[in-house]
Amino acid sequence: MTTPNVAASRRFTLTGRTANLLVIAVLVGLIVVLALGFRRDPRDIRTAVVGKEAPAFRLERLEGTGTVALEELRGKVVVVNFFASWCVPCREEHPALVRAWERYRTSDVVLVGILFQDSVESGRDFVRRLGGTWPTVVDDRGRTALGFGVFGPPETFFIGRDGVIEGRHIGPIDEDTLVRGIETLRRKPS
Amino acid sequence: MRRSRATGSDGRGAQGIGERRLVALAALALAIAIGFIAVQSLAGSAVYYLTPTEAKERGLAAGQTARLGGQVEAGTLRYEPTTRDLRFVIGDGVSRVLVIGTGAPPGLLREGAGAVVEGAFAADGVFRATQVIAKHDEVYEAPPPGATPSRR
Amino acid sequence: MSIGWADIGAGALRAALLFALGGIVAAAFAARYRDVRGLRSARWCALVAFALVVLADAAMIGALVTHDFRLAYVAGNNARETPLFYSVISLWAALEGSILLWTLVLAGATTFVAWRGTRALPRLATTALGILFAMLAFFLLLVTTPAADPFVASPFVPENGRGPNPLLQNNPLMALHPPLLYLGYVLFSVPFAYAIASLILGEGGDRWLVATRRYALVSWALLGSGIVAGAWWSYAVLGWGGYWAWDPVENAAIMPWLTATAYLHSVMVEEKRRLLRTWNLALVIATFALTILGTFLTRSGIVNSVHAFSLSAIGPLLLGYLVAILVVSCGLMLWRSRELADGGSLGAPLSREAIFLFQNVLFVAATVTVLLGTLYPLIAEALGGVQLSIGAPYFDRVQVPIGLALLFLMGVGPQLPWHGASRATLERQFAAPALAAAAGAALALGSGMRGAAPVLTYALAAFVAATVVQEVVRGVRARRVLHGEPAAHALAALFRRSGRRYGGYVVHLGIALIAVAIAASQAGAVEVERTLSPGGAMQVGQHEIRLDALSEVQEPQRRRVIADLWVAGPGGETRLSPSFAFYPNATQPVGSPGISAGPADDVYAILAAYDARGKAWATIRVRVIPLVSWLWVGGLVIGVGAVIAALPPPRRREVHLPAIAAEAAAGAE
Repeated sequence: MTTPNVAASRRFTLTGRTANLLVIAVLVGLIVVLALGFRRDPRDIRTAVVGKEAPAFRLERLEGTGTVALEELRGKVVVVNFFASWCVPCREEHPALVRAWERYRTSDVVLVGILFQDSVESGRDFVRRLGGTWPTVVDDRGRTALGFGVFGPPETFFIGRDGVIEGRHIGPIDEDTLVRGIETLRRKPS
Repeated sequence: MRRSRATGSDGRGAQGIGERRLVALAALALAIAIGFIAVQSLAGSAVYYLTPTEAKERGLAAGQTARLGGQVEAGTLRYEPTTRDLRFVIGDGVSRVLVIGTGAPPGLLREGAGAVVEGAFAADGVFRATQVIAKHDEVYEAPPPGATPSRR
Repeated sequence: MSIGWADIGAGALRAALLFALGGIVAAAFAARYRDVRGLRSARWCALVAFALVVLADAAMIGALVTHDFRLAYVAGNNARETPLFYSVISLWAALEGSILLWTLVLAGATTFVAWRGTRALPRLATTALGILFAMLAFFLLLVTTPAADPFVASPFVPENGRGPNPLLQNNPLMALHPPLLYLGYVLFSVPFAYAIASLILGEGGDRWLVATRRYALVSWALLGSGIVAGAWWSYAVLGWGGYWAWDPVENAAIMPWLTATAYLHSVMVEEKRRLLRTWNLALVIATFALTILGTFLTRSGIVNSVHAFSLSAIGPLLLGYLVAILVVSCGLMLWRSRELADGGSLGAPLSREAIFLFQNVLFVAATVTVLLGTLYPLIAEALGGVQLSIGAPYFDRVQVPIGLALLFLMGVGPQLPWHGASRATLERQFAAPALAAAAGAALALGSGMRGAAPVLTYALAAFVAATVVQEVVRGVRARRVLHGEPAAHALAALFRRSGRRYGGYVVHLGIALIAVAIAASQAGAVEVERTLSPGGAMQVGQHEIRLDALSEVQEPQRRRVIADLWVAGPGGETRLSPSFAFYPNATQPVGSPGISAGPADDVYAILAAYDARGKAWATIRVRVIPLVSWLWVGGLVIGVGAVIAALPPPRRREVHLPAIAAEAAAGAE
């Protein structure tokens, strides 16, 4: 720490005042650097998945009725949502997903929920209680989440008709953001 | 800043002015020497974190240590158990770099996943990794064996 | 159950906040008007607040143990399968819980000061008590704001929780290392509070320092044990074959320890020579500010680290707290600078006080350079927008010379008299230790050590050990001549009567032991990595390692892949089973090393890779690390030395009449 400088500089008669100012400047600089640290996200080491092709996956459905594969959804707008039953914000965003799904379920938009770091039973219970009829699948030991560079649930990815990730939303999502993202992708020529 | 600290305890007594000055000067010299070593070492130990594209744009000199961060491209990861020869391609969507290392890959290193490799470019443009850090960002999770960020 | 754990905990914390605020007022009243009623109220405020925080912590443990997933913290850090022991220690597995534990320790320290510290020096102590209450109020405020409220309810109740981080349910050492660190961190609040109180009251003397000497020592010892326990945990759990990586969290713990060490020594200069007053105040403030800075760095998520907790709104609050501490401390020191003038000046370069000065410069330089290395990535990004990291080489290159110089001074300092030494004294004091140093160097070279740093470390450690032995032998001899005691009695009396001095020597021995262990384990480690088929073997140093089998085991809470190794060496045969564990709720496999510890060396085996399909091969990494066990032994020795130094001497009056006291002691024994 630089605090001892205050003490030290008091005794340094020639430059006492200058040294005090110097010490204070260093301390202020320290604080500013620390404060600036808030701007960056330490977990962001530029995984930069946006703009790249989404990692392929074929995963078991939560209810055990077959699989869902990303490549089979080519040509559709795909919204991939990572969630977990223990995750509080997932519960918060769930109604928005339900409403968005009601709105688009009959169109060329698919919503896929991927259970993240959770047991199948808890996941089933979550869906049963909160509703939601879109396909939900279980991640294979987190491999898919890893491929997408998921920080933690909830996280939502918007994938275009060409299979390229066009958008990413970290944290609970609201209906507006969902609709805006989906509409942007639907309008985009492929 | 270090200079003023070194003199922090010089007093103004009557006795032993020469000796007192000697103590203060010795302390000062000590602090300056450490400051010098620190600044020297800092410049030498800074490992830049670059994406493959940035590494190419900067024209990173052969032999200069850097960390490359990107994704392990699908279908490129090879580990030969007997020779422990490890190679894969790391890319950021624009540029791709072939990475060659020795030693078992960390448990988390998978195709399509993010990875950070520390090492240097050889003259042939291949990145020789001294250390491979598979990375996975997660809330309060420690890295797996072999992936401690600054292991020696 | 209509009232849940959350209601109890949250209610208790809010009530405790009221009592802490009440305590500030009461203590201020007591200090200002020297009013006994104020002091009495403050004492009860402290006790009630402490009891309430205990209740809150107990409620959290209750919620964890009963798997009450109505609490968001429990849902996020506990699961039905979590064993009882790990449920309890999940209290400090994540941000909110660890702040809760911190608050508990702070409330305990405040209560202790309120009831024990205020017997003497009421004015200084009550002012300090008020400051402690203010700090307690801050932390209680923290745990009652949404940023770090541990009792936030989960908006729904999940069937099962997420479970604690796999790494944290892997090793019982996790139970030890964070609480030790917190105790060390928090106890330093007491010297800080007294120092600030002394500044507020404008006391030029060293009463604050005498009153808090023991707190500082205990805090230092706990911090040190926490650091050693953390290194041990890292060694036994993380599986990279080392114990110290200059990770930001490790740096955050070592920085206050360094300044606290400097302080424990410079205090003696102030006591004996009335010098370095400002400096000592600055060291206490710096140490305390560094504990907060460390908490901030690791809890705010602004630096990458093995341990970094998630990004959280708590960061700005802690930064604000740090700013407040620095502003108040620096302001007070500037304001009171006249009262802080020293009475004399440092004398000869070969006096004990001069050695203390050099030692202090080195410790502070070590702290500043560690801080620089830790924050440099942030500075570089703020100034140049580049991302970089500062690796271990920087820290090694700077800290190794500093460490060696400190080791040297550790041997020299206690042998020099105050005020200055004559040539004859020097010869008398350093003849034997110099010989020991030569022997140490010879031992290092003989055991195959090469390179200046390890050989010097051996030599200097031997030097230090010799000075300690010489001191003890002389002390015993003096007592035998003076009081005619038998050697064993004289030795015991030495440690009991001059515990501070001889306890300090024991600490020095522990440090020398640790220095040797570090030098040997860093310079002498041999690592070999081979891919083996079952039945295949490899040779590492004098040890032969054979892979007997590679098996997969399904356990209730996880799946494990285990390499069954047979190890034979000079110390006999043993079996090791390094493994990978896969938890259903975690993406990452968790590797566990297999360690065979011995006095000469540890065999440290890691399963680095394996054939997932046919189990036909496994890549095994084996490190043979010399003397690493002595690191933990050295930690223990330091702890013992600290206890000796902290124990009060038996009845003060006897110290002034050594002959009579010795007789009395001899008669009693």
